[in-house]
Amino acid sequence: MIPIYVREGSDVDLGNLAARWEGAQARAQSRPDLDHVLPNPP
Amino acid sequence: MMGIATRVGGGILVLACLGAGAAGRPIDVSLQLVPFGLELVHGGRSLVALADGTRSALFLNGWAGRVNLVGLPHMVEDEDGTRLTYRTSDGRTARVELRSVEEGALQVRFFVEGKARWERLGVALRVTPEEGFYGLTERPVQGILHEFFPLRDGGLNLRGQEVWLYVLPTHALYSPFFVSSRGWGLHVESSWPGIYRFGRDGRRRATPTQVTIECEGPELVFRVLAGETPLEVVERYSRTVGTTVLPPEWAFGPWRWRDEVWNLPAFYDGTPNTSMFNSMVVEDVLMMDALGIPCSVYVLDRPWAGGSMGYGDLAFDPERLPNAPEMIAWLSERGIRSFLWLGPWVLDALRDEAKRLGHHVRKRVPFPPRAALVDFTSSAAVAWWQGLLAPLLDLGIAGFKLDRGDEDVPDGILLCGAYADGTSYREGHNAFPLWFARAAHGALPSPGNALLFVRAGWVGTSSYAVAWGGDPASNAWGLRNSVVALQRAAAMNVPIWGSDTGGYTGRPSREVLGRWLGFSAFCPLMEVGPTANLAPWSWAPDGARARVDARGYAFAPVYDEELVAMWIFYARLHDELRPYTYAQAVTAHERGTPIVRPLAFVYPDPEYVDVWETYLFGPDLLVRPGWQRSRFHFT
Repeated sequence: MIPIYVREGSDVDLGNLAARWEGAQARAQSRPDLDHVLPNPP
Repeated sequence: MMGIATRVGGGILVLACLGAGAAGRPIDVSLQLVPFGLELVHGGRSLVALADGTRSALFLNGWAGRVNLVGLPHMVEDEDGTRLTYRTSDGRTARVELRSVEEGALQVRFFVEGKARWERLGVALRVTPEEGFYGLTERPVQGILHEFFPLRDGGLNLRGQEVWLYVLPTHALYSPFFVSSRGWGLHVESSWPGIYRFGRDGRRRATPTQVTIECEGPELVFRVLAGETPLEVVERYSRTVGTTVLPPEWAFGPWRWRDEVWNLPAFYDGTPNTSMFNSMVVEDVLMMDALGIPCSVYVLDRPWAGGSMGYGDLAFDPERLPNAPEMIAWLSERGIRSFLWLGPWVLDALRDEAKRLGHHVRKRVPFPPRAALVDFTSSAAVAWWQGLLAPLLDLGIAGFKLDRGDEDVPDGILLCGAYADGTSYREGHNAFPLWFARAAHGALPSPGNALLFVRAGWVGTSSYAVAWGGDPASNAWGLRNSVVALQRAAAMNVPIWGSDTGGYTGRPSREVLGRWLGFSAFCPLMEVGPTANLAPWSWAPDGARARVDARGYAFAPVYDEELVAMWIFYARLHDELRPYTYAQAVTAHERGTPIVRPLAFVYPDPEYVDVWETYLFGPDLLVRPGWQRSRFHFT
């Protein structure tokens, strides 16, 4: 994770970055399967 | 335009010419007649002086050596400004014109009668040894091989560097403008090549209190801008030359790009591609969708067409990109805009047609073989070339990636000649990327919902296009250079910039790609590669031979969970920042305020002069991309 600092009083809300990273890891672990899961386009 | 009122003060003419400057504080210009010199004073503080000790600050440099202005000048003042006529040390006549062209800016025009083509007109500036300088070029170090031997020390601050203002590939954004950390800037108003030296002379000797500029061309015209902060100076410069184009909001979402899209019979995992479209495009779109990686633009690079170089006929290659119209529509249904690679030359039958119609640059292009460079100074040639793009735009192409324009453009040294509008090859070399972008912009049916993405740029290019940072090395040093280039671009009125995430030259290690994803999330544009046609789900382990071509994968692709997670994480962050980034782009478009701000632009403290590893992304975010292992320490 690169250091990111948000100015006090800013409207920017990056949320809970640690939780976001855990979510990204979980999503990556799902390993989408092109053969069985993903539909091909027409 | 304001005139210059003269009053005498202490033996020096004080020209109160610039009216109210930043924060309502007056900017005074003091003129010294012998030797010629100027000093800009803002709020009682000396900003910068045109001065060179006992010699005139303006000079001419030729093969016979330096020629100075000597003696007392003849001086005329009127509502147009102040005009001085000097003799030169070799007996010629030189003219200097000073005038206020806008609030907070002084324009200096200098020319010498009988100037030879090879002689350069110059100016010497006296600066403080502490100040830093920013801008001029995206290229952190000089030399055409920079992409392979990138910068390993210093970078953002130009102090100690000699910069040739001569567009070179591939880090090819250039602008004859720089800003000082002390709140002034200088803009040379021509496209003639020049040499800028910051705190050093032509023999690499340190001259900490001097900056010199020498330019080709019949005259040297420059303006000195003053502001309360460097950021304000950049804003003034941007408004002077034209602020950035405002891209559609979707441009600030994540982009996907491969250097080549091969149409393979199977996806990376062996699943047969039964779709009617290119397998890699389909794989990217389906995988990104399944992983929750947002994608707003898909960039189709060359080769994409039939004919020579995968570009020759400017029509989709049905083998590589079957059913392209339907594919573009399919992407569009998913909210993904299709971008297409374009170069400034034409090949095959189109080259023959260009030559028959006289729409080509007369000088032969060394590369690609048998190509003709389009003469974008000719309105007829531009109209013809724009007509070639119309069928592509009719298919729903939302933007073009304008590559090249920075190489194989006439240099004007070995072969004299001129473009159709009479501009010499020499003068036009730097301006060519601007002409290229302007011509492509004119082809867009609805510029408000389309975009150009350029590698090369000159003054004014950003009014037509956003930019990417050339072909950086796919290693930590290439990433380092890109962090510098982003901030250089910001100083040069190219506020909307991104890089080939993962680099271009070579294949990145997984660590470099991971770090680059973090950096790109906090760039205005996030375009994710890398060049090797890989994806994090089809990765080749570090050190493995990783080739993907028409024969398929020459290795067993590895699903790299950590890299995939990093792409998900940073792409989503970038996408969620889209409203914020777009708001900054609006400000850049309206006021000239760069989105990315080096700390020295905002905080007038000498300790920030050399800082480049940390920058502000808009006013609210401070980021520090970790370009190298063990460089995360932060205070």
